Formats: sequence, C-alpha cells, structure tokens
Amino acid sequence: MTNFEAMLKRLTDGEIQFVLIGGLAAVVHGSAYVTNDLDLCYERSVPNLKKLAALLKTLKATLRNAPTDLPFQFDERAFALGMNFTFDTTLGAMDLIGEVAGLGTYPQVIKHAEPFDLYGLHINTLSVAGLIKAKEASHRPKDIAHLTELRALQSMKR
Amino acid sequence: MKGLFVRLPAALDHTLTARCRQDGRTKVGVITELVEEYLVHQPPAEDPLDAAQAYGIDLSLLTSNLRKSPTERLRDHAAGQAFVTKLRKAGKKRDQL
Repeated sequence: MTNFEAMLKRLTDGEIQFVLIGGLAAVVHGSAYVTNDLDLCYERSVPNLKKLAALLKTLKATLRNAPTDLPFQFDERAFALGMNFTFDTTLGAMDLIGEVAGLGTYPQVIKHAEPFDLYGLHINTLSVAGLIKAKEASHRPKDIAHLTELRALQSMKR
Repeated sequence: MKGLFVRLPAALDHTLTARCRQDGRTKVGVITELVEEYLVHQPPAEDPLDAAQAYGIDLSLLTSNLRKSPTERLRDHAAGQAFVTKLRKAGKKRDQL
C-alpha cells in the first residue's frame, strides 16, 4: 500500500519540482476511484533530477518489473535514458512521467495545474480539464470509466 | 450503399484528386473514412451527468466527495485503499487454502 502523505512530504521537503497527475490528482478533485500509485510529472532540469535521484536513493527505489538482482544505480544521468519511469519504493509505488500524453513536458503541464493544500503541503495538481485532456490523448480503453467520471466532476464543479 | 453528392470547392477537389492518385485511394474511400471517424470518435454531445449515470457511476458519491476538503478526500481514499489491500490479502489467503 502506498503512503501518499509521506511521499508528498518527502517530495516537498526535498524541494522537488513536480505536478501531481493521474489517479491521485483525480481523487483530489473528487474522484471515487481507488489508485495505488503516485503519478508525478517531474521537471527535467539537472538540479531537480539530482534532488529526485537523491530521494529515490533514500526510498530504496527499484524499477518496477525489473529483475530484483539487477544492479542499477539511479542517478541524474539515468534520467537521460528515458522519460517515464515506474518505481517501487519503501513508501509504495511512484511513477515519474517526463511527458504527459496530450499535454507535454513539465513546462506545459504546470500551466494546467492548480495549487492545492494537501496535508498542509502546497501541491501543484493537474486540473480536471488537464486530466481529461491527458486521458483523451491516451486512447486506453481502461480510461473510459475515469473519463466519464472526470467529465461529470467537471460539470458538477461549474 | 446510398449515393451522396458532394460539391467540393474546386481547389480542394483538385488537391484531393492529386492526393488520392498519389496514395492509390478513391475520393469516396477518403470521405467514407472521414465520416466514420466523425461518427465513431466524436460521439454526440450529451450531458456529462447523464452519461455518467448511464455508465453506472454513483453521482451521490461524487457529490459527497465534493463537500469534503481535498485533504479529507485523500484521507478517505487512503482508508479505501487500506480496505482494498485487506480484501486482496484475504482473497490470496483463501486461494492458498
């Protein structure tokens, strides 16, 4: 089980630039679905990548679905090898997304974010409209239910 | 198949003809594909609440969530997540018997 509160606290304590996206962002907006991982769109400047890599190290992060005996040191250079990474950590599952379908990278995603006070922390969270745009662009059948719910939430919030 | 007469602006018709020749396609084929795309991928605009209800989404749950603060929503979600984890563990245990 993922400890979202502790994860968000560690991210903000580490002064890491990110936007909360995915299922938990939907929960923040009122979604009734249960999610088990923390999805973040992260900023890809070297200083931010260094902070993220340091946090991943303290959380003993391993690449999800990779062999457990795979010797893999995740540092800022490793981020250059890809955009999106899925990790298992001591606090639970964390997915780091460099480019969000339908929106783009962090500079574009932050424009679709709203600041929320979550557990007393200031967390930039993808807006309902942003979540809808991202899900529409993903074209995944599993997103149809979420999309239908998000559109309803958007309508209820108007 | 029903007939459909389409009058395109001359320049558009000229470009379409050239492109179809290049791609080895027919104009009817291209237009049929566009119509299908429109009908399948752009469903008629319906009220999002009606659509959600028809899909089986419990709107009262959403209304209740919207009355809470974002942190309260996260705390309730964590409780739901813990419950789901317990159920999964119980299911696994039963399967092992």
